[in-house]
Parts: sequence; C-alpha cells; structure tokens
Amino acid sequence: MMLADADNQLSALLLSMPLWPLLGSVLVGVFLATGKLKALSDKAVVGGVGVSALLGVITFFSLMPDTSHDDGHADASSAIRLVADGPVEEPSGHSPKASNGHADASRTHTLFHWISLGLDDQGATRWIDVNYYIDGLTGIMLVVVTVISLLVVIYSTGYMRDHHGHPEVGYERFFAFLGLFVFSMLMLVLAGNFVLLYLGWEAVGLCSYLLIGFYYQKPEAAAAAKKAFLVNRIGDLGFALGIFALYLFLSPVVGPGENPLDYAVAFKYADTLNTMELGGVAAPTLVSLLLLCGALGKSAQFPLYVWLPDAMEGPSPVSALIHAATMVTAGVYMVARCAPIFIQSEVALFVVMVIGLIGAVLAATMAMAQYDMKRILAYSTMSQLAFMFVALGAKAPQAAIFHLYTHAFFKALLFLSAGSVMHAMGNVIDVRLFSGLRRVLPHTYRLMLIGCLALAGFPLLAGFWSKDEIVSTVMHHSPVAGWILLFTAFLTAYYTFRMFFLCFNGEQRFPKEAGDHPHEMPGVMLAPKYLLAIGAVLAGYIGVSFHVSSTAFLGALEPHGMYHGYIENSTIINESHHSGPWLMYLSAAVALAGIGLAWARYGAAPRTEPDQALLGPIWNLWNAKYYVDELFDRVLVRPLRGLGRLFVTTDNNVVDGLITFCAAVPRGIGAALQLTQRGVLQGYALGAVVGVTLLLLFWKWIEPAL
Amino acid sequence: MLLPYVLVGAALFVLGLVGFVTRRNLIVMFLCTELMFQGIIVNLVAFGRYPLRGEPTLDGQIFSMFLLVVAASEAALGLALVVLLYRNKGTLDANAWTTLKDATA
Repeated sequence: MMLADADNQLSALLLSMPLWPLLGSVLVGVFLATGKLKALSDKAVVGGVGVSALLGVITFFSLMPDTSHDDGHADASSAIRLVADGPVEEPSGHSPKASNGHADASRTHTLFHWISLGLDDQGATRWIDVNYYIDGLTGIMLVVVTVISLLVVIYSTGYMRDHHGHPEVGYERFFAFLGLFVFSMLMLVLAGNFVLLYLGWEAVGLCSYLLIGFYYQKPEAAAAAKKAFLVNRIGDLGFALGIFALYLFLSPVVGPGENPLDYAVAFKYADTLNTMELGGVAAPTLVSLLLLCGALGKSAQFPLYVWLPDAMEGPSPVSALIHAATMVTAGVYMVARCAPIFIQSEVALFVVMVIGLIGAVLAATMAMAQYDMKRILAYSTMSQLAFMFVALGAKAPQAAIFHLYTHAFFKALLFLSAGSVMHAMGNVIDVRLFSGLRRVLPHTYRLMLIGCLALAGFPLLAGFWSKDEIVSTVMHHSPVAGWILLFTAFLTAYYTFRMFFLCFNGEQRFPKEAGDHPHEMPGVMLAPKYLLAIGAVLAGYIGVSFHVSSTAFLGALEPHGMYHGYIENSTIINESHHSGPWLMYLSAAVALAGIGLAWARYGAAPRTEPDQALLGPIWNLWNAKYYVDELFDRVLVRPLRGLGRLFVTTDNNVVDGLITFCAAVPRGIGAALQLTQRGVLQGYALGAVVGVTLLLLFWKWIEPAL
Repeated sequence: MLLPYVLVGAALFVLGLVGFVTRRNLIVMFLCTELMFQGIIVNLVAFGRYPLRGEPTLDGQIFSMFLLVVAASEAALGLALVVLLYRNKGTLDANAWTTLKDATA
C-alpha cells in the first residue's frame, strides 16, 4: 500500500512536468512587472526546464519495457508505474491488424474534465478532458524535448549577452518565451486528445512567432516571424478540419461517454473509418490528408517549408530549439502518433512519402548552393525531416522517430556551434566572409566536426544508425524511394562538409565585424555543446537494430535494440522490414563519398565557387532556392494583395460612397432650403400666404380635374 | 345676406395681410395681425348668423369671444416684447431682427 502511495506521489509529480517551465515564465513575468529580482529570470527558467528534464528522464525510464521477458516484447506493466492500479494489458504492437490493442486505456491519465460536449446518443455526458497519453512514443519525445531544451536554455544564458557579459536588451523576455515554448511543446507531446494537442500545437506556433521575431526592431526578423506564423496558419486550418472530420466520422460509432477525440478512443475505433466516406473520399484518406496539412506546416515540408529558412532571423538558440527539440518535430510526432489512422489509407501514406521525397531532394539541393551557414543548416533540417516523412509514408514510424531523436542531438549541436561562430565573427554568418577558423575556435571546430559527421551519416555516429534505419526500411518498401534517399544522403554529406570546410579550413581570415581577437565561448556555453556532442556520437546505440547487428560488424557489441522494444509500446504501427546489411555498407560508403568529394572540391576553402563553375545555371537555380519564394510571391502573395487592394478600393469608394451619398442628399436639400431662411419676418409671412394660395388653387382647379 | 359680411371680412383680412407683409414697423405689423383677426371674426359671426345649411346658431359668436380673449392676451404679450426689442436696439424696424436665421447662410 505504501508503495502504491509512493507511486501515486511520483505520478503526480511526473504529471506536473509541463507546469515547471510555465512557472518559470510566469515568475519572469512577475520579476519584470515588479522590477525586482530581474537577475533571477534566467535561473527561474533554467530551473523550471531543469525540473521538467529530470521528470522527463524519470518518465522515460519508468516506461522502459521489462526486458526479463523472453520474447523481448514490451510489457505494459512496467510502463504503467504511473497509474497505481490501472488495468495491465499486453500491448499488441507487433500485430498490424490489432489497432484496437493500441488503445490501451491505462495509458491515458485524466487530470480533469475540461469542456462538456453535452450528451451523446446514448445519454452519457461526453467530455473533452485535460488528459495525458503516455506511452513509449511520449517517453522518447519527452526526453528529446526536455533534455535538448534544457541544454539550449543553459547555453542561452551565455549566448544572450554582449562581449562584456552584460545581458542583451530583452534578456528576461527571451527566457520567458523559452519557458513558454517548452511548456507548449510538452503539452503537445503529452496531450491525450486532439483538442489538447491542437492547443499545444497553436501555442508552439505562437512561441515560435515570438522568438523568431525576438529582434523585432529588425524588419527582416519581424517579417520572418509573420511569415512563419502565416504559413503555419495555412497548415493549421487543414489540421483543424482534420480534427473536425475525425469527430464527424467517429461520433456515431463510439461507446457511451467516450470522446472520439481522445487518442485511446480514436485509435480503438480507427478501423471503423474504413467503412465511411465523405463526398466520394474514403474517411481515412480524408482525415489523414487533412491532419497531414498541419504536419506539413509545422514540420516545414513541401510546400509549406518556406518559413523555415527565414526563421533563422531569430537568435541561434531559438534556431536550435525550433530545429531540434520543438516545433518542427511536432509534425513528425503527430503523424507517428496517428499511425493507426494513417495506416488505414494507402493513398495518404503514399502522399506522405512523395512529399517527403520531394522535400528531401529539394532541400538538399538548395542547401548545396547557400552561403548563410544557418540557412544551410535550416535546409538540412528540412531535408532530414523529409527523410522522416518518407519513413512515415513507408509504414516505418519507429524509424522516423528514431531519426527525430538522434537528429535532435546533432542538429542542436550544429546550431549552437553555428551560434558560436556567429558570436565570434561579430554576427556575420556568411561563409564567404571568413575561413580557417580551426585555430581560433578549437572547441567549436571539434564540436562542429562531430555534428557534421553525425548529420552526414558518418559510420557509427548517431545519424548513421537512424538514417540507415530509414533507408533500409524504405528500400524494402519502395526501392525507388530508397535510392532517392541514398542519393539525398550523399548530397547531405556533401553540402554539410562544403559548409564545414568553407568555415574552418583554408587561410585564416575574419570579417572586420569580428574585431581583432575572435574568441571562444565561456564554459557555460561549451558544456551544453559537449553534452550534445556526446549525444550526437552515442544516441544512436539505443536503436541499433536486431537485424543489422546480427550480421554486420557490430555483432561483437551485442546491441540489444532497446529502442525498438521501447517504441513499440505505443500507438505507432510498424509494418516495415529491413533490407539486407549490404545497404548499411552502401550508405556508409555514400556518406564517406560525399565527405570525400566535399574535401576534394572545398577542402582548401576556395574563394571562388567550383560548383557554380561546374553546374552553372542549375547551381544558380539552387542558389535562388528554385525561385519558390518568388513563385509564391507571384502566384499567391501578389494576387492576394491585389485582391486586398480591390476590396479596399471597393470599400473606400463603393460602400463608403453609398453611405456618403445617403448623407449628402439631406445635406444638399438642407443647404438649398437654408437659403429661404433669411430671418426676415415678412418673408416667412409671404411664404405662408403663397403656400396657402397655391393650396387653394390646387383644391379649386387641379384636384377636381384629377 | 351672407355676401356683404364675407366681403367685409375678406377685405379686413387682406388689408391686414398686405400691411403685415409690406410694413417694417413692428407695432404696425402687430396691428395688422389684429386686423386679420377681426376679418376672421367677422367671418365667424357671419357664418354663424347665416349658415350654409340648417338653422342659425350662436357657435360663431361664442368662437369669436374666445378669439377676442386670445387676441387680447396676445396683444399684452406682444406689445411687451416689442418694448423689450426697442430697448435692445433702439429701433422698431423688423429687419433689425434677423438673428434667428441660420448662421452659415
């Protein structure tokens, strides 16, 4: 009994996880409002996120499947330490058909009733609850979100200062936003129903707006923030419609008192969607594609990716946060979470995969011809997210989430390192303007190298395992897609090291903004990066797959594939198969080839652009980002603006004109009659006489004639 | 025998009307309104005495009594106003008092 009480207390503490960063933000607000204790602002948020990170890690381990079982499958009993006496069910994540088994009721932790939906058909009250859905997928996401965020927040306490160590203007505000961002993302990840998910979803969008536009005095930053918000709005409209559609379809099906928007309920009845349609479109396809719209906006996928490169206007820690822990991972998470719905529709999965393929190639080619270091990284994020989408489309969500998890470490590392470079170079980020930073920034050089190697898929680093998992499963699902991904992986290695060599190799030169002595960062900024670097090297080992390990060169290390047992204890449905180990050797070779080619062409950090000379117009097309921004401007922005102008003109002239006319008529009549009112008494009398005379004449002569 | 009375009444009324419209002196104009009153009263009495249909009644004469009372009280008020106006501007010209017209005209 005491044990149960302890469990309950622990569980209450774990469920309070999202509130700590929020508390930090609120405290910063109080500090700012009262003008006291402002110096504690960063500590309040670091503390709040720190507590969340601790709880996130505890939750992660409490969800660990019981490996004492011989079959190696996940066992829910250990996962549900959070609920003292919830029913223990064997999750059936290995059977593709049994999506019912994914709706394990004990994974839902209801905090309180939130919104009443009235009575359902059976006369029971239907509630939208504030509830959490905690399973293996949540556990992975919690670790990614809280740990990466914590490291980024700690880094920010050093980054958001000038060269004398004084906090920048808006330092406190920045930390309040960071706390709010982490809170929103945690709500998004923990949410147990679509309405709460949508709340977190929008809150994340709001925070990204606030943080991208942190330097709101800069017109570009303000525009980028607005762009991010508006582009996301387009996707979110589809997402909202998807939720409505899901409710519409499932509402008549669910049992008494069950809310069709709860994950547990929605996934329990997901296979009934197959029998429904709306306007000739099958229900699963409709719902999936609408939900996908939201994911495309948040995860910056084709065609809604245009906000992501511009989002680089925000401070570097924000870029790290958006690209690694929060925001862009939301879309991938949501699609993986909704796997029981997506898996019902081959069409939707195909669309997911095609969009992923387009995005992967598009982003990788654009990244090859950019000079802005952070933009290159932004395009690489888009490309890596596209990898995840391809995996989602290939029915391998576990591979997508695995890549999301490893990607978070090295992408955060890369952005924070880029921030260091930017810091040292006096906010110059154009790789043409500096080179040979190896000796000046030795730590950053080493860290960046690890990050780039991981991103490029260098063998045995984190990115290698997850990328290999994706390519391997996709290759089995669709060889064409697999080869495209392999090619993109080659491009990734190439452009990553093009950037790296341009930055760190060659003769040592700085822009004049850097001053005389560009310097490395203080320890508070180096420590988080070293931790991230450890993650970038080792994070992949939790997921080295059974298949690969049994045949390939890692056999001696006995990787147990702990990740796969863990993630399958969730709503994701894994119907994927691996290709042979040959693919692993091939992808290792591809990564090495990409790095080698980059070394051959850019190893000396040439001042001219060899690729431009070689590829000519194609390179220029990539450099101009396929003119997509211009295309959107021509096709969407300008016509809409023209339409807006038309409306303004119509409003100003036609609508307002009508009203002005209505007002002008009585005014004109009044002005005419005013002339008769001269104040002369006799005039009035004469007027009366003439009027009476006319009336008399009328009655006498005219009216009888009518 | 209605016609002579009506003609006298009409003559009185028109005399008053023309006087009111043409003269500028406030007192004369005031007297002209009285003249118009008397023209009306003559009409009322005449139509009472020689009605177009039916027997003669006293209605016209009673009505004229009321009118006389109204005219008398109006005369008291009106002459007092004329005195006040004279004190303000030192003239009895009606054209001196056009301040009630619209200011913008």
